[in-house]
Amino acid sequence: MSDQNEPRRMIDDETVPEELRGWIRESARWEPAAVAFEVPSVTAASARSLPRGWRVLVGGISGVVLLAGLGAWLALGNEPAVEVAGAPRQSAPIEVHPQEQPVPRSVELPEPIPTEDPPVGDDDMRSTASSSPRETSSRSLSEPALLERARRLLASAPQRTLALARAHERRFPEGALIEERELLAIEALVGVGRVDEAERRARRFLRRWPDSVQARRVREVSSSLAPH
Amino acid sequence: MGEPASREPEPNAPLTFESVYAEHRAAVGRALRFFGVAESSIPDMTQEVFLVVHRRLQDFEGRSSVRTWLFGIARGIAANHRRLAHVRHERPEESPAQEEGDGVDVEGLVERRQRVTQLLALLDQLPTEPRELFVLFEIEGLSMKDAADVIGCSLATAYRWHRLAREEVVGAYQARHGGGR
Repeated sequence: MSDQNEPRRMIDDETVPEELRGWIRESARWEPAAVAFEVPSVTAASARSLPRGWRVLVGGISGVVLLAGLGAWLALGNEPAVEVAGAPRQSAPIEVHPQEQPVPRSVELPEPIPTEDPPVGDDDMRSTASSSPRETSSRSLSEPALLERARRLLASAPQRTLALARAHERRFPEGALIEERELLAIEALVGVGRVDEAERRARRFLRRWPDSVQARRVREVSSSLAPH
Repeated sequence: MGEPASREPEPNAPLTFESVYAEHRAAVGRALRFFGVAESSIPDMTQEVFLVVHRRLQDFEGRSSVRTWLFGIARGIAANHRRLAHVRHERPEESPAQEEGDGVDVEGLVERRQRVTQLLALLDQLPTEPRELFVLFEIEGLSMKDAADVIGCSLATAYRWHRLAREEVVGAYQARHGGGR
């Protein structure tokens, strides 16, 4: 299963704090609560109106799983609305219909873009302009933490994501997560309505990293911006 | 590890939805949890995974193990879940009520839950792919190659992300707990 070049797993590595190894061991044993599926008696017609979620009874139920009923319910045509992004392909690709907000085509800004946020345009890719006061608190963050903060702000404050992406670019020009940063920057540019810049940056991304894990998402964003 | 490879069905055993579900439900739920899905959403997200499995099982050709296939599906479902988090106005989850009853070691359950919660807090600081690498390799016990296959990255990238994730997790642990062993 593993080869000799693999890193030592943390739970086997005595240089890792024992408490932390204990957390990992406990996590590897964690299991979701027992779930039973209560499948109502249905006709084919009424099955279509079933709530999308399972009738889930959690807790105190010792693993009574009515799989036969589940199979019957499935056979009645309750296909999931969600297709899966990123699932490994077997014989047929799994389509991507992510449940997400449509990417706006036009410039529809929910709020004014704060001017103190440094722009992240094409030229900014090479810029060494000074950081904004808002970025100060990000200076102590590690590379992963900085980008995780940027990701979390993407939906609510894409302009902040842009600022943090620039901060990442300055602090970690040869970082391990450049592609992740670029994807965030592209999505944030869309979020603030700078669609043309997002398109240019997406094209540049795909030229540079066509096989990247993030390339699929970049293509999704890019295609959503294309005229229909 | 939580779901050792020895629990894979026999090579010639018929692969049925029921057997896949029975063998892998726990691992799928766990992967979703550590990929960042809120515990309260695990039942629904597990459902999503197995609905996809139900539809795709006949196309499964066994070029990867069932586990890695399922983890790949779970990864996609978790990604959709994250993208919708802001739509749902998701709030940090509260600790669910502990199971109680005769013969239940409530104190032990609380301690075990706290250990898991502590690790989740560290993982929450990681970007998506390094986090997934960490979960698949360190928690689920996949080989690095299988983990890379699940994520769809090169082995070299997997090593890089794993190293980064590990450094981050250990660093965050030491920052919060003052280091030491």
